[in-house]
Amino acid sequence: MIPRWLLTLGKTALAAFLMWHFTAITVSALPDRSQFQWVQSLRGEVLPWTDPYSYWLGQWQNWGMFSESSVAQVYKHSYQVWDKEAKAWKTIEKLGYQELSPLVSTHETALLRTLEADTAWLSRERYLQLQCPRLGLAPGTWVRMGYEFFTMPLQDGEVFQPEKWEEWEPNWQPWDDPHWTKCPDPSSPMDTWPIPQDGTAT
Amino acid sequence: MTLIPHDLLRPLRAIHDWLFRPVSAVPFGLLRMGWAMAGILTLLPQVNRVWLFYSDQGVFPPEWAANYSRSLYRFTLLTYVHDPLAVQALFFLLLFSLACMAVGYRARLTTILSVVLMTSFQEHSYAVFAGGDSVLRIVGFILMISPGIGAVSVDRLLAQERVWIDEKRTLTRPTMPAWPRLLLTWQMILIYVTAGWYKLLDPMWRNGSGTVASMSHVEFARFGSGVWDVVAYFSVPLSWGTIAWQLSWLVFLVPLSARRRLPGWLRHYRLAMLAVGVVFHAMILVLMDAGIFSIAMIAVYMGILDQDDYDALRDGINRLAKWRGRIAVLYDGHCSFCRRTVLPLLLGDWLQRIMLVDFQDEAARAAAAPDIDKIALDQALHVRFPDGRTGAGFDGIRLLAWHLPWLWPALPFLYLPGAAFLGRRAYRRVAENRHCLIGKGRKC
Repeated sequence: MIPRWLLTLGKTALAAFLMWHFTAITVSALPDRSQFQWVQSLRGEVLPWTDPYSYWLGQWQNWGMFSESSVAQVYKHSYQVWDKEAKAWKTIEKLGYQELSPLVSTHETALLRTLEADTAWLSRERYLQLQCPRLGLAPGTWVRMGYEFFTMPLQDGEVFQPEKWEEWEPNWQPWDDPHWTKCPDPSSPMDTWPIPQDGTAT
Repeated sequence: MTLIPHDLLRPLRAIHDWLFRPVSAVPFGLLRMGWAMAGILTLLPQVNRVWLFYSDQGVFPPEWAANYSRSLYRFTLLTYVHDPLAVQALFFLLLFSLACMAVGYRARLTTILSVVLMTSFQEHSYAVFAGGDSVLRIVGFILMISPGIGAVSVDRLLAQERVWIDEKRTLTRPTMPAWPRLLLTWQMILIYVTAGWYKLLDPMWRNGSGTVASMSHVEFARFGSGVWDVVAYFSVPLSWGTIAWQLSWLVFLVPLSARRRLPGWLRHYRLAMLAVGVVFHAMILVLMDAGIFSIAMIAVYMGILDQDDYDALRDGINRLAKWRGRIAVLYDGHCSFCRRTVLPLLLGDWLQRIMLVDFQDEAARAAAAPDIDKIALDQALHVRFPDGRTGAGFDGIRLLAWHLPWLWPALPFLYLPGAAFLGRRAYRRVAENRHCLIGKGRKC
């Protein structure tokens, strides 16, 4: 039998924890793009206290998906190899979202989106190197990620007109990866694989 | 005599009742099942890519962690386990734990293990996860700390079986304090209301192009542009409808006591909102590849309903089917195998249409079915409907299956050509040997 005072103490501690948790998750979820001063003040004052808790326990959150104009930027990826004779990059496999199996597309797409970021170039090159055996590329072949993108006509600041949407066709633009790397010898230890440290391979 | 003034105690009592009043634990049992199944769905497709996503031989080796993840306040077991084989083993352990959690085997232990492992995989490489996975990570923590997650589980079934066989009674309905459901409800309000708020900040959603832009994005769209040219004409009302519905989740803050004072037609507005939510997420599931987001959200819905909502849902279904009364299931209470067999019927009687009658109890038999003699009852389980229809053996079970939702998937098989012939033979054989099958004091 638990003594009454201990039960009361336990319940009080639990109530205090719940208050803390409510505060942490609420402030974490407040839109970072809000222009309300009170939102920015709250985030600025409270997050430094609650962030360690939210991050340690995986309670950080942001529900702004599908509501950033960045959704309007649409990318497709491909593998490209350096064609020595033509002295040009040649696409050998497209990684458009329709080409990926529906079973793996969610995680593979999320990975490709992450690898687009400039800061992720190390992981991008490792990803390319790991694909070399599957693509039948000989060690020493230069590879890079190819991109195509288009921007959706969001008709910002206008009244949305469906007719314009119907008439519009995507205008795919090429965008070159400034980083490239060499296919490694798959039998060699991974820590000897060539990863350019200055951001570009020469 | 108390040292605390009475006026001060009243709000404290109100807070105490709000957080700790007992509520049904069944919704959280269902949530545990849904969470685990959604977890399996999101992880299974990764089986062949575990080494690529999580090991030191993949794209995110630990020495580059600063390039792809935050460096502060990050907990993941994969900091200590990064060899491809070990990571693969951990991944399979997670899948196994999720399967146990789904059926409720060692529910507490497997829930904690699943949540810790799931969070570890996500925190190591959150680059490969999507919105639905975030829902699982966040709700998983609530599940892990909640009492009552052992409802609707194998653990409870085994406990119930013991009590049923020994004492011929059912366990009392499992309860838990209200605070986990309050926490979960607040989390869902946050998800929807802040998602709506974000949309209001975005010119794309404000001018009504948000729906068609999101849904026709090649990364997510399941169908070609022809579909989206049609959707574009409905984009403005759909976009504003989505925002309005998401913001309206604030009404989930209305407490139960206030809801009970509402007029009858309005009392169960939460069910109506969740029905809209199910349609909304089903549309996303059909039209867009957004991972398990829709499935995770619908799984969480099961946890935020309270017993009043489930009762209203059940009564609504029974009203719609114009159902009244109870089906008497007459079984042999002296046979251990029979007592065990009827237990799942009783536990799975979600629509509350069944009444178990031990035909060895003369008074009970006379009240339920006085015209069926004991010799016939001794040969097969009988069911007697309120309208007088009667079924025995395999035919009785087949009639009963229409009233037990968990048996609905089996219904088509029970009506296959030849199923009745085989079913009746099998039933007769089992019935003749029922005293030899299981249980104490077997006599053949």
